[in-house]
Amino acid sequence: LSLAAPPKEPVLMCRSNNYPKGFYCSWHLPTPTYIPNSFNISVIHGTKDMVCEKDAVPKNRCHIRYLQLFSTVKYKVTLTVTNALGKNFTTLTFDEFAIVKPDPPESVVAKPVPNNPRRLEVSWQNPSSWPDPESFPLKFFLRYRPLILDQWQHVELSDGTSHTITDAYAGKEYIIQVAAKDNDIGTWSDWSVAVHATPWTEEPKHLTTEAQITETTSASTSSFMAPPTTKICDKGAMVGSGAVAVCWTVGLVVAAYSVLFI
Amino acid sequence: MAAADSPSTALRRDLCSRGIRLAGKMRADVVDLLDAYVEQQGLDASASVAAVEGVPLAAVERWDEQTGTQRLLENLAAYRAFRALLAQMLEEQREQLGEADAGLGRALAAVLLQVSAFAYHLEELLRLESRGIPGEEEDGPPPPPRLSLFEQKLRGLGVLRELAQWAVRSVRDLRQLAKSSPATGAAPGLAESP
Repeated sequence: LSLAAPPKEPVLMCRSNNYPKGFYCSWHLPTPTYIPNSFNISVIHGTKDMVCEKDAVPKNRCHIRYLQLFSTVKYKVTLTVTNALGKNFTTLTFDEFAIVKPDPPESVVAKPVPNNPRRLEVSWQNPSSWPDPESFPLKFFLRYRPLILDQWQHVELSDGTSHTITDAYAGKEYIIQVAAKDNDIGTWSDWSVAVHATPWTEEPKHLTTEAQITETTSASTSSFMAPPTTKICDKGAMVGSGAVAVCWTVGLVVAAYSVLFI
Repeated sequence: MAAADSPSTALRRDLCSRGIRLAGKMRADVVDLLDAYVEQQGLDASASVAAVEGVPLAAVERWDEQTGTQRLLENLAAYRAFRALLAQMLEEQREQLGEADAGLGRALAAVLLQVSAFAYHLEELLRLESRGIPGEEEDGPPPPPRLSLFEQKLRGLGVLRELAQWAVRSVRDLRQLAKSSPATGAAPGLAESP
């Protein structure tokens, strides 16, 4: 049996993810009242009352268009919740710049770079909710780590929507995320959806005669890249004989890669 | 898009880029100065300061509809006013504290220099737009009456806060200017979303 209760102080949040168009406020109750509640929100900017238009979905949200930009006057938002047993309210005061927080970058893609065992190419797009990235450019923060380690590497990027990681551990799967922030004001977005990628590695070759080497090609965004289809050694470059004949260039390559593995 | 920029377009874009960097550096220094000012003047950082006469407000309606020339003229008027206000603050600072607060005085002087440099940069942009530069003697109201020490401190807080806002606005204005056509100075508006 749940007892009806008056509302506790509501939780209110305001944010601009579409600067400079406007901002939205959303709210919820920390504990249920088990009876219907009504919410009333008021927004004051200086001496001016502003109308916060309620969104159809979700119901606990409303949005406001900025009438002025670059104002030092704070916005004061008061949310009052009322039910049959009582009422409660909360107030939020903030300035225009402080609540600017873009949505995370979209369409993050990470790909290995052919013939580069320590590189990963990462690209992403501006969040679609950010209305004018040309006039209000975003900067980005990229973090990445191999799955086997806990510590993140970080890179801050002031322009562009791509970056090449050049210090990846060869053969290790990576997790990568990107965040965005207006170049001049506000706070960082949440992290984007994580993507996984493994740097290119050469497929291990059997140490047999050249005639038994099979050349294949394949393409993948998250696994090994196959070696190129061009021949890499001639008959005359073979060292040794029989089952352990090794093309000397292949031997050099294998030796070089073995140094890189950790 | 044109296949190649004309020399004046390229120069305009270059001046805008440099102006953006100047404004960005100026803003960072003003924010640091604001923090130091609040602390050393014993003020509450969250205190609301009423609009002070003579301090140009950065707040603007229909910002996206302004032409390039409007942006430049409003910016120039503002920074000329800030130049006078900061010079006054520096003088008051020296009178009140002498050498006791040399660090704050030096920081004020450094920002004053940047404000002067930025005002000059705006004049260069206006010349490029083939616009006459308004005479300085016509700018701003007559000096306000002598304020109490506390009133001076509050006004100083208001000056620095508005200057910080202006620095952000100037970056945005110059980006818009860099985008717009040199012939008309008309600003492309933001795309309207449903």
